[in-house]
Amino acid sequence: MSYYPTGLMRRWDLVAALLLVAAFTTAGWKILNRLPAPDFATVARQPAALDVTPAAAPAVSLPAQQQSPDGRFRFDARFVSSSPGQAVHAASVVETRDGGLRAVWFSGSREGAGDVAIKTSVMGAESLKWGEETTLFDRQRLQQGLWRYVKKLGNPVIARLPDDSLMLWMVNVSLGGWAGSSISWARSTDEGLTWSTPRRLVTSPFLNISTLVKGAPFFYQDGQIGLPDYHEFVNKFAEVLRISPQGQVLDKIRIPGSRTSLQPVVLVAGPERAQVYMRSGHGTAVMASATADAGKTWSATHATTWPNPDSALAGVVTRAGGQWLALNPEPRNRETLALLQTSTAGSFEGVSPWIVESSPTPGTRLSVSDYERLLGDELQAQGASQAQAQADVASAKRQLCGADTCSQEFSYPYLLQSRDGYLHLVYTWHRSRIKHVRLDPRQVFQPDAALPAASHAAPAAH
Amino acid sequence: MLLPPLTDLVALLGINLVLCAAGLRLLNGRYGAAVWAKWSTAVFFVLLWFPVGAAHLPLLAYVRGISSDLSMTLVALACLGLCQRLFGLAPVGRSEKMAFNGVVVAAAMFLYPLALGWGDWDAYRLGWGSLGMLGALLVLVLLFWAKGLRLLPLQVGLALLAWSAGLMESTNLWDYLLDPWLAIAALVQCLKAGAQRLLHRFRRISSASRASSA
Repeated sequence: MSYYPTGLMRRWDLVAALLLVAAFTTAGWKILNRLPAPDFATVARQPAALDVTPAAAPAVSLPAQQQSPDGRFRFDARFVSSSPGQAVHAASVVETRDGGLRAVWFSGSREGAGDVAIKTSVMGAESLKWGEETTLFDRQRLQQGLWRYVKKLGNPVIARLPDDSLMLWMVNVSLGGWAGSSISWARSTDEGLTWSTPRRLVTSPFLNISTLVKGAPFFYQDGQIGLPDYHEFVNKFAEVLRISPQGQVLDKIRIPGSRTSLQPVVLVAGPERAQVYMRSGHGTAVMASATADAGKTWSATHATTWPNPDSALAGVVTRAGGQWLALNPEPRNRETLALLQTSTAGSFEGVSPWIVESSPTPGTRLSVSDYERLLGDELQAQGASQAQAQADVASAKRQLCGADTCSQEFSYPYLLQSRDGYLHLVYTWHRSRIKHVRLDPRQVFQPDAALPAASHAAPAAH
Repeated sequence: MLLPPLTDLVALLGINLVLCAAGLRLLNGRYGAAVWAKWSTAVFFVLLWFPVGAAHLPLLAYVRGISSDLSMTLVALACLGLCQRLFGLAPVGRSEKMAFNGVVVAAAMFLYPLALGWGDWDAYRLGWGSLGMLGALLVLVLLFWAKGLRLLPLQVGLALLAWSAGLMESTNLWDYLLDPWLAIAALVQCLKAGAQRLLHRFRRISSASRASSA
């Protein structure tokens, strides 16, 4: 049934037909001009700032080096976060132009609370001391920038882009729990002193929920960004987002068979080759996949021999070509944190772990009093006042202790190599502090007959 | 409070128009609107822009936190509904509506399971620029056009133009064409039409049997 006179309908039909021709033509032109996926940039081609001469050797006294728990290598360690009594988590770190470091993490009264904010601190290139923490983004600032309600903030990831600016991606939730997350980002062109208005990545058609970020980004040869991310709503799986240098999503690809795997970490081994390692949502083993065509396709996900207690990994490729992973290598807890090393595109199977941190009583929960003493001693040894130490211990107890016993947790690692060649590992220490470990990857790793290589490793479960 | 960036302004305005259209429909039923309802809708439209809370965001921004951004298709339908009730524009024909709803439901059943992890292939990827998807849309539009149906072709045209102009925060064409709220509304309409058809058939059969027994 027609509601209009015939002449009017014909005229409207003509207008509609012209509109459709214009719409399909412009859309087709946009598709044909879409940025293609180039090859990966290898470490040597990454951020321009890395080509700058590093700062002169520190003239002040350096922090004392300490032996690793198994006595096989040396490192120095210090706390990054300084606000006492907070629940802190999910740190990441970037090198500044002067050779220092800038770390970001989230901190608040408890994970998921409305007062959680993205905090930052800078480590001086010469002093190697972390400054006072400051707030980068809180809920209110993010809401104002995004023009929408935000319920809570989560994992931040900071990185230096090929154009030398800093990019910060952060998880935020407007609806529900972490499965309702989306990713927002902001950019800084002054080394993190000021940040652009935050914008949101749209990565899912279902209310744009359930995309989270944890792993470090990698880059393509034309400056595009590869951001490993993961999905948690209905199903868990890992993906890689391809993002334009301007920050807009161009594409994403799901890692095949990554169901129940999350928090992917991508290690680029060449212009077309990379491996991805993932946390197992079922707490079985570190999961892995690989690409040989610059991420256009990925192999089916398989389990490695390294156990994974449903905990996050981190990874980095050094300029010497070595690949490093940081992970919790015990199958059922997060009380040991270790590094694994292999050559470019080599395998981590069977390598000896570099134990960075471990419980003095492996596999056994500590009594509350022993736990208080253990944490208090380390905090005060690192310069915390008694009041600060008490507040941090109280925070750790709130999160990790039951009525009588406490579990220990060294988790959510993030790895970076600075221009001076040192590896920097930041991680969550007992959920109450962010800790920074700095080590020379070129040092000799002492063999130890008492520690057979990967003696803990579970049988292969391919 | 500063003016939001264009994509945020478009998103907030879209939510505002959909809420107003829904409100007017609730106040005045299917067609037409009393003067008081028109004024109430105008006041509602303005009130939703008032800043509230510690962040001094408009009420719409809180709705946006939950609803996420709405598709161009849903916003255009809301505008059509508002024009019908406020300015007396002729309603869209029933066959147009049903064909449109059917396509929306089919698209949602194709997109959402695959995007949420059913298998390894992600249909959402097509929306970042696929000639295959554009071709499928062209075929669909031509089929509808040939049948004399105009609602779906115009909706697709508007969505494609908006996507080409980058009017929304999303860079994915699917988000311009479809959203979960539109899919739910279309599904409800389809179920309602199906139930009405069944009820009508049942009544016809029962009246026929009554007539034969008499």
